[in-house]
Amino acid sequence: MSETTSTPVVEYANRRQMEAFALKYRLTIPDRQRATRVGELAGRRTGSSVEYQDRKDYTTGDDLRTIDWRSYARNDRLTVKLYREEITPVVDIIIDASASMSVTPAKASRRMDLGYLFFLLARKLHASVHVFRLGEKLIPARGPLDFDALTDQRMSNPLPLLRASGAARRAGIKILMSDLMFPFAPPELTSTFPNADRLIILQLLSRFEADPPVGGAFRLEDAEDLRHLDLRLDQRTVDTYKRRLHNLTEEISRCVQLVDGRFATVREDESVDDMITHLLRARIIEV
Amino acid sequence: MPVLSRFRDPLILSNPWGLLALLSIPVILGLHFFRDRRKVLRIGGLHLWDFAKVSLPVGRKFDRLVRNLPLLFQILTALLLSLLIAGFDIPDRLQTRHQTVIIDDSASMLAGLKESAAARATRVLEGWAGPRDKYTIITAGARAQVLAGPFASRLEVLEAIRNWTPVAPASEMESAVNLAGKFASHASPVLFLTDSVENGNGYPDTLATYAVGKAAPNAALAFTERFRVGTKDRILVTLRGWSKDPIATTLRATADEHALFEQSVELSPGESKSFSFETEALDKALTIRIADDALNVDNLATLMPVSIKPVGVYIDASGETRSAVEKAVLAVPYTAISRDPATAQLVIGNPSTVSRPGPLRVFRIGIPGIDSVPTTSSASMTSGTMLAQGREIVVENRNGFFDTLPLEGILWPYESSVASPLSTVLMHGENPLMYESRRVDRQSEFVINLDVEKTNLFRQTAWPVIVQSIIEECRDAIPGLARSNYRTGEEINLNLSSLVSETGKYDLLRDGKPYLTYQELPSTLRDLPPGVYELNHGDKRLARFACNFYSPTESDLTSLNAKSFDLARLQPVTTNEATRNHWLYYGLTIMFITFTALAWAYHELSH
Repeated sequence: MSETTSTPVVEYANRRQMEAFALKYRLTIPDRQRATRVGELAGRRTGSSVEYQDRKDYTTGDDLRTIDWRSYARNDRLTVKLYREEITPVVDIIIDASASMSVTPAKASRRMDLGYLFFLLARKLHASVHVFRLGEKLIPARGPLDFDALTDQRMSNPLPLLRASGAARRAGIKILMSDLMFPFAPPELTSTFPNADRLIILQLLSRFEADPPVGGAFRLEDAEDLRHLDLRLDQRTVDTYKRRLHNLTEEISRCVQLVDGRFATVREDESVDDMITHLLRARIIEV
Repeated sequence: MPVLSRFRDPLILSNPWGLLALLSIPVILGLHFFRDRRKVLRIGGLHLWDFAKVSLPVGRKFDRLVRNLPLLFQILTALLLSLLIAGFDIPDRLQTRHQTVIIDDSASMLAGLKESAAARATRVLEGWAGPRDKYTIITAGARAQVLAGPFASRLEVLEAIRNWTPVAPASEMESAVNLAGKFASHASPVLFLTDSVENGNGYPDTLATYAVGKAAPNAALAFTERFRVGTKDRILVTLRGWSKDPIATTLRATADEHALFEQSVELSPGESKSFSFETEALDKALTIRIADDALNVDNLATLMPVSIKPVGVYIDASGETRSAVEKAVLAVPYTAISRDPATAQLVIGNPSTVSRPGPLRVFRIGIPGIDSVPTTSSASMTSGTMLAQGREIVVENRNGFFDTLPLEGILWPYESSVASPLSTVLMHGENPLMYESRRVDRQSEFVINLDVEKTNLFRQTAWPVIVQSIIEECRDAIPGLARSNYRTGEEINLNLSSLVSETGKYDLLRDGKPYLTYQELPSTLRDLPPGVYELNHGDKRLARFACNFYSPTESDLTSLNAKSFDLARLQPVTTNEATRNHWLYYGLTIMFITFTALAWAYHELSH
């Protein structure tokens, strides 16, 4: 695990756009964070920073140090000052680096967009940002643009590896980018991050994975283990696949909502504006 | 066509061109080859697609095998279809044995108190006919007919025999033997199943007679007739008995179950007895019946109401000649003197009388000098008159109805200058005495070359015979059946064409049930078994008549006998017709259907 403190200077097609989006939007952070350090970010909760936010009537249990004695002197009424919490969140960005994430150039490119955008958004929070590459091992990356040059690694199910890693167990904002095209039970996915303050799951699908066409004979090859399946995509087969994909995403969404997380599916073939729209709708980012 | 003879059972391809269908196999292979060039696509994972996998128990080799099964099944299907089209066969036998059989179709085959000869003949056939041979069964009845076959299977023969009822009033053996000769081998006699061994005596080298008859006493209706006398119907019935001992029976006549006449009768051996009774003229069928005995087909007769076609005769004559003609005309039943030549069916007068045009055939008798102005006509016979007497008169056989004309004692003076026409009836040397001229305006004219003043013809027996014959000829030409009661085997001249103009189906009902259907109106009906018939055109009834069985030769059962023949001595004809192996055909068909289903199922599964 390494803390990335500086923006990498690597050129790629949508870099400027992502930087523009990073200026315009910010990452939606949870009301309460355990894995924070006192920092520069004003939290949503009242805290112990010097910045005065509001006042309220004193109630039993309030910190006596926050009583506004001057006000008491003026109107004989005990009030306490409320200060904005100043936090430094911890953000772990785990990017699926398996072969399935680059089955098409567009999918690999969109992974780059997402990784870079969320890296910038995390940096905008003045957070402690850690980027991990999830392949055969979970290893820290030098930066979100590090994936472009690396060969993808094959793996069947990354969840056991994640579960065994400290990155998944510790608190903080967890952002997982994957196509989730491996067999798993959705509750298993959320339970992999037991202490996450905010779990954000971004599912990235290729055009074919999201919306396979009807008609034609195909040999589908699994990018991870190279197994293949010969089939003719008739209407019934496509409908069945779409129903199963829909059930999977619905179940992931439900499980993620149970832990107050966020989930969105992003397609490789949609525009970056549509991608942002999906992220906004999923309340992963906000203006 | 035998294609492989080194096998014990040679293989047959009845339609070798059907093997061209094998060309479909490379086409199928080509389609599979091109179809398998499917698009390869790499995706993130297959687990969401696992529902589309073929459920396979083991690894890759079997996987490949299963994926190739549709191709295998399609090739097998094409192969089997080619074989079926090519008529592939491993025949049971390359040659077929063929037997020709003549069965006596005469009514006496129905004789028998417990079991008829026909039933016994059927049993003989059932016991003898092998399942793998072919047969041609010919019935010897009023006409020879093929009952089953040619080359019918045993099942077809038995089916035909079960539906067979012998009712012919006679056996026409000559034509049956000739017909059988077309199918049979000359080396072996034709089996002849009959009820009397004597029936085959005329063909000792041709027929192997197997007689199944049994002598029995029998009484029969030898003849019945119904005709109208004034306002009454008179019925004549003749009974005859054939037996060694006297036969007692009861004659009963009924109309709508009401008894009209009943009498007990005892018939001595070979005796005939006739009965006559009268009833009111009824428009109903009468049933004449005697008691059941060994042969029942001759115990019942149905007499339909008398059908009358009256003939109107116009006589253009005067004096004694007219009275002589009128007397002869009135002696013929159902004939009337007409006062108007336009409504008469027969005109008797001078040949120069103007004819009446019309749709129906009109008859005329032209006698020079017979007309109402005698002086004019007699003058025409003054020159060249000759005389023919009795035996000098020759009856030409072109018109059969003058065959029995009594010519004795006739004095026939005639005009010798008349040229001899083609259709002469009576001749004297080279000179015509009477001739028929058919005219284009649907008229038949009988011209009598006679000097009416000097002849004695009008006082001779021949004169009413001539008049009656022509009147009956005239009556036959009137549309409709000549009678309403016929004998079986008799040809029935319908003469209905002028009554029916529209086309369509004609249904012949027998005893109220459909019997035959004709697409066109038949001119005659023949070989009808006993029964009451109706000929209908749609809802319109054209004719109703009865056919009754009168046949002394068939009713006489005293000479029937039985004599078996060693059927193993018959040498069947062998032909090169292969006996199809039906099990192979059914097997190939079932395999074809199965492989088609499997090819479809695995094709679906492979997707």
